[in-house]
Amino acid sequence: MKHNSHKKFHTLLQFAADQPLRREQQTLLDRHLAECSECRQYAHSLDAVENDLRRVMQQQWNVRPQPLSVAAIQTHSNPMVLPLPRRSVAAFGKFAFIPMLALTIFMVLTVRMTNPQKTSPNLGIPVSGTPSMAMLIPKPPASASAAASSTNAQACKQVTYAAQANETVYGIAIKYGVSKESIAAANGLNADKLDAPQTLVIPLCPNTPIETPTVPNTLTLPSNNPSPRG
Amino acid sequence: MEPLTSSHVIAGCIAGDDSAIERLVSEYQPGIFRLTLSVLNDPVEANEATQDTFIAALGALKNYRENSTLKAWLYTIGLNISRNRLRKRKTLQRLNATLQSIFRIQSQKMASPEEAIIQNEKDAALWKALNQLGEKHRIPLVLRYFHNLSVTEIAEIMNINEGTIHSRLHIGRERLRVELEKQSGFSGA
Repeated sequence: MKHNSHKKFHTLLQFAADQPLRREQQTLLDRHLAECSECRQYAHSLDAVENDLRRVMQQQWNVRPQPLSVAAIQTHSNPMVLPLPRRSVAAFGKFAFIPMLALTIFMVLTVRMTNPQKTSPNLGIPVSGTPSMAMLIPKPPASASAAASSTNAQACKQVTYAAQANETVYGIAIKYGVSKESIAAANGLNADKLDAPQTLVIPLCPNTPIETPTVPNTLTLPSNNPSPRG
Repeated sequence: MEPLTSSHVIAGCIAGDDSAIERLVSEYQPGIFRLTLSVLNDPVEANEATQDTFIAALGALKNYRENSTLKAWLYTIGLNISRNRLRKRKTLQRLNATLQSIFRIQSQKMASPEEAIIQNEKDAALWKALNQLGEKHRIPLVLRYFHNLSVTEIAEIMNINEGTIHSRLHIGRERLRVELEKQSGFSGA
């Protein structure tokens, strides 16, 4: 409790060093100082610090300034000579990124927005203004789909298979690793089970797994049997 | 003294009138020099900083509004310029120290002005403690006890509120007091 009150008066003393206290604070402090030797001691040491500080600073910094040339100050501070270019450069440096950013966003957006509009209606007609984009972008879908269908038609290698009676289309499909639907479609079959020995055309498409070499004996080559449906 | 704050001298300075600038410089140069010297602690640099202060002030005088006194306004500029120099000096010192440690150069210690003319041991200790305080607490003390400014004026110059100045002065004084007490304890023992 007592320590606390000392601290409070120390703070008051510190404050009093900077500006006059309010009257009631001052009387409170005076009364306390009259009876408290510790705080008197503190006040004393604070005074000593202040006085020493003043004296030492005066001692240390007792230097006369050199005369200043007004002409030098004036030429330097003339806004036409120095500060203007500096300022404009500084301003540019500070805010240059805003127009740059805006420009970048604008360019990106323009490219994004114009591309689909230009390409979709112009599948066949090349755009004269931007030949590279018009040629590059619309073509892939058209040529790709065409190529896909043609490769489907051409690349499906067909083999014939002499099927026995009571074999199933499903079994054959599994042997060749193709779907039974593709075999059924190629031969116009409705039922899964074969009633009589039959020569079947089996389409081996590249996207389906290529024929398994597990059934080489039953394979008959197309040269032996040029008209598979016959 | 008084008429200098009058607007026609300021207007003359803005217009580039030699005599007006001369009056401004002759009136405020000693004060600004004391300020820059007390912050930079080096007369040569202080003279340069004083000149820089007037250059900057003349360039910016047209933006001066009379909501602060001209003295406080000039002191603010001087203080900022000095602190910038202080910062540059610190960077340079750090760079120097790094280079020296890399190349193991034995440098002769720069004769620092702070060790100039202190005979008294106690004063030397106080001076050392003051220089170890750090800008934050040292500058308010310097403005208060070397320039005899009030807390209000210091707050205006440093652009900090008065309560903060009070507390910084308090801390600075307290540290110096403790240091001095230690010193007198040593010398007494």
